[in-house]
Amino acid sequence: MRHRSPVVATSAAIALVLAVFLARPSAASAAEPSFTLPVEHHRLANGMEVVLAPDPALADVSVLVRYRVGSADDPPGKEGLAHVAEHMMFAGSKHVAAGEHVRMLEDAGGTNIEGSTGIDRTTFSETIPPGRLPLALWLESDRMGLVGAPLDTTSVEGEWKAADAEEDETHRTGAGTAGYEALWGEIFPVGHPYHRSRSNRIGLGVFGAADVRAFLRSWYSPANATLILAGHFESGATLALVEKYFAPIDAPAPPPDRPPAPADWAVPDVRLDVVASVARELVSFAWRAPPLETPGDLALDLAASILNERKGRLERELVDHGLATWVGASEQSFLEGSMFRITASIARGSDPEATLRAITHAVSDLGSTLTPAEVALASRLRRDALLGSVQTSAKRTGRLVSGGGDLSVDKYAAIDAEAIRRVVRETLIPSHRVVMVVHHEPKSPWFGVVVHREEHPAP
Amino acid sequence: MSRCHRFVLAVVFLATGCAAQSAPPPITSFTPAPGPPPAPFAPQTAHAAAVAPSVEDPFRSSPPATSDDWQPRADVPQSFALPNGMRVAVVERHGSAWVTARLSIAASSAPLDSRAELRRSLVPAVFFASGDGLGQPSRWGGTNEYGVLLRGAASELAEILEREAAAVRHEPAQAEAEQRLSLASKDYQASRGDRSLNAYQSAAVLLLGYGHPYSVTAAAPDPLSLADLRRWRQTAFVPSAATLVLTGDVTLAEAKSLVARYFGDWKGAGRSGARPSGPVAVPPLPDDARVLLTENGYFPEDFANVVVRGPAWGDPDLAATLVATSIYQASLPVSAPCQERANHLSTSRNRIPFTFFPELSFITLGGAFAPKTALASIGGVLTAVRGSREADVSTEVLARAKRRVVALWRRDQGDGAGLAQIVAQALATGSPESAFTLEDKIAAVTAADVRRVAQRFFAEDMLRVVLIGRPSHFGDLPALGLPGVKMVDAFARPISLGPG
Repeated sequence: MRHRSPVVATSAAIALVLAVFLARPSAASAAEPSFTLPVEHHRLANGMEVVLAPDPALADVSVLVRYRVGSADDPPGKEGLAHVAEHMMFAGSKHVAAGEHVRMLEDAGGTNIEGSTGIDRTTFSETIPPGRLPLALWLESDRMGLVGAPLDTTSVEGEWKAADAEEDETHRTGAGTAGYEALWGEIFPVGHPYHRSRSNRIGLGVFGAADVRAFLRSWYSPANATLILAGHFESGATLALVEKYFAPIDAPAPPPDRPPAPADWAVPDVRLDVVASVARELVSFAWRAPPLETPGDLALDLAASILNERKGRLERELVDHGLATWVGASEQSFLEGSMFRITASIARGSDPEATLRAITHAVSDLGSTLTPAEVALASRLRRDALLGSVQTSAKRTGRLVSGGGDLSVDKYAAIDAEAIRRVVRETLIPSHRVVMVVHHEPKSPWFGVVVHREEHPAP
Repeated sequence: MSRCHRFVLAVVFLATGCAAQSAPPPITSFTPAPGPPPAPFAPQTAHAAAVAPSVEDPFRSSPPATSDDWQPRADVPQSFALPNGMRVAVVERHGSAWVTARLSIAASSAPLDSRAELRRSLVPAVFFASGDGLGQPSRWGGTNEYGVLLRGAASELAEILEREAAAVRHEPAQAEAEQRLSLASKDYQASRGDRSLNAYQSAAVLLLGYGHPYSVTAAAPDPLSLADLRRWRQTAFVPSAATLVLTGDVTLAEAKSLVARYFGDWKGAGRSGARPSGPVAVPPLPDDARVLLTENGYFPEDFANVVVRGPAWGDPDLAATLVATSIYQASLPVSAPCQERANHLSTSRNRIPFTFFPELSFITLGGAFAPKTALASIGGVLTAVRGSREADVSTEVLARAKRRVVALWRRDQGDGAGLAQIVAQALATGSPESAFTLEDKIAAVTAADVRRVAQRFFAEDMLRVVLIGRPSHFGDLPALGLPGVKMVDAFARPISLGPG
């Protein structure tokens, strides 16, 4: 007879309770609810994609322009260029003076006026009253590629400083976790377009106005852009407006091809020990995971939910046993590959190695004892979250830029327990994971220093 | 902030500036997933044939004509109360197939002491975390409420209410509750380094003083026993302190039936049906310091806010204060508006920075600024404030500010969650219709109104300033014209500067 540890028994017992709870007769209708939000896809002659999600029930319109370029496309030695280029899009265009873009939108009742540079994409967005939509389209078309806009060294340097401060802020707030960069570097090693480090973060003086202009001309063309509109508008008339403002913009050359990720970038079994000035000592596990929106990626999304949600498996395994004060799992999804990560804050006085063992056990357990009831609950919670992501016009443009081009809320419904067990067994495997322990050392930098790296040969 | 949220904060990192956000969605590409392609991407040839101008055409040289045609939503909440005192509001929006349910418990109107803040944070973690509810229990700092926010299909509303009704009654086992209290207390202490919390602490100390229930001061983080928390829960978590707002595809009749079925026999753990006493006393404005400076070299940007006591929700001057605040915020410099800034600041340039309590509000004007520019930035705010006290703002400035306030207001109403929050806030004042008359009030605001509220809420002796960053970056403090600078620690406790 196979021995069952107490932890397994506990997990099974709670899963049973969940199963009973979910299986009980509900007061609600048994019919599966259906949510359908129409989305139209078009393409202009110059190559620009247009995505329209009209809904007369919404009160406003959100506009989002997505360029398929991000920090992964920074030229070698000129890291940070994509981010500075994004900032330059607010520094004036041919018919709009510096600073006027935001002011004109705000004066027109615009909100959510933002720019964002990601690994794979750069976006510009605003939410505007329906009657002011022409203004938003005029402004976005005027700065597309910054055709004819003034770009001088002073303004580039000014935006470099702003971008540099933001990147530092990002490291210190959103990043927060010491050692993260080392973890990221193991998952996306040197040679991979996602590889980043503080040492190649941004190079002031390495690039100037000419570089920014060349970058914008290469990447910020209509053929490399998607215009997404969601909200209160009528499709036909709006498409005519889009044609009016964007169709005349030439797309002289196709955007450059991004160098492919190395074919053999398998992650070895690595242990990192990091020292940092931290309030909480941490342990982290990371695995390379399937790319964005692939079935494996979606299954790992659900796996993370199952590990986290409603006193999930990780909490029962670690927090209930006094090994950690909090713990969580996440799937960070990208076009060229994703990272599945589990991080725990080590409870004061507990042994980090015991925490590592408990996480290993929880992951292994997930691959074998997962129940349909757990999947049903996770799928329901994910659906409810997706429902939240289509409530407003701005949220809908956000979904359309990141969620596979539709507004469906039930994309997790088809994933069953076996699909999750399979991806867990195939992806979250000990021989291809990075394990990191962050130890508190008051005089160490906040972002952490790797003091020990040990690579175990593949079995 | 839930542990889950903190974890998301911790893991979402990319060395890409604005791209790193405090919450998903992950940074991704539009490239569709396997499955049906988002086709057809057919060129709209009819439109393409109709327009073939070049980028030099005259229509590009000036902004296009636009219209002001923007009809506000006319949804009016309908409210009722159960015999046990629980208040319910329903906003029928039948254009979508879903509902949003927001259940909140206004703990701030219960008898409070200086550890109330800590109790408010720990009770959800201890008593609700293991319930069967579908929502994530949380504390909403801006309104001093606990609550859950849920969404689902209209056909699932009964199930949602059934589970939440069970969750509010849930009583964890003693051992589990003790363990959760221990962990939550440690986690709470460790989270105190958060800059936004630091800023709130300093603002609360400047505006209400140490030891006030809305202040999180040095006195607050004392350990609390489970028995203490249980007593607090029995006092505060009663039906008469609860508000349920339903928005979406639900009718008033359906709501009445379902709410009565699932919450009608809820007695609370203690004083059944008793209305907690309130309001909380608001002391005279402390005047021993006008500026609190916290040294924090951890962040590259400096944080600065002008803070004042503002009106409560039901105050007749609320609309004019919203407009005045928008005018002041507009004086702040802004470069590229970056998501990163908005996600990591307690205030941002583009938001109306109010924190409402039943008795008053905190207004925080400012944000985070590049090193050594914070003082000049909030100096601009102070100049705008002082100017608006002395003379009427121009018609153009007033009109712009009104448009901005209305735009933000309508944006918040567009979201089921935002709408539910607005309605709950209005309901708490006893006038649910006020949520939908505010636009008319904003439209009626005059320059004289702005001047009046500037004199009422932004008088010179009412202005306070919160600074967080490197002290060397705030070298020209006297230029602000505000006396009484004190150095405080991350808990807003005074620290000695030492000799010299």
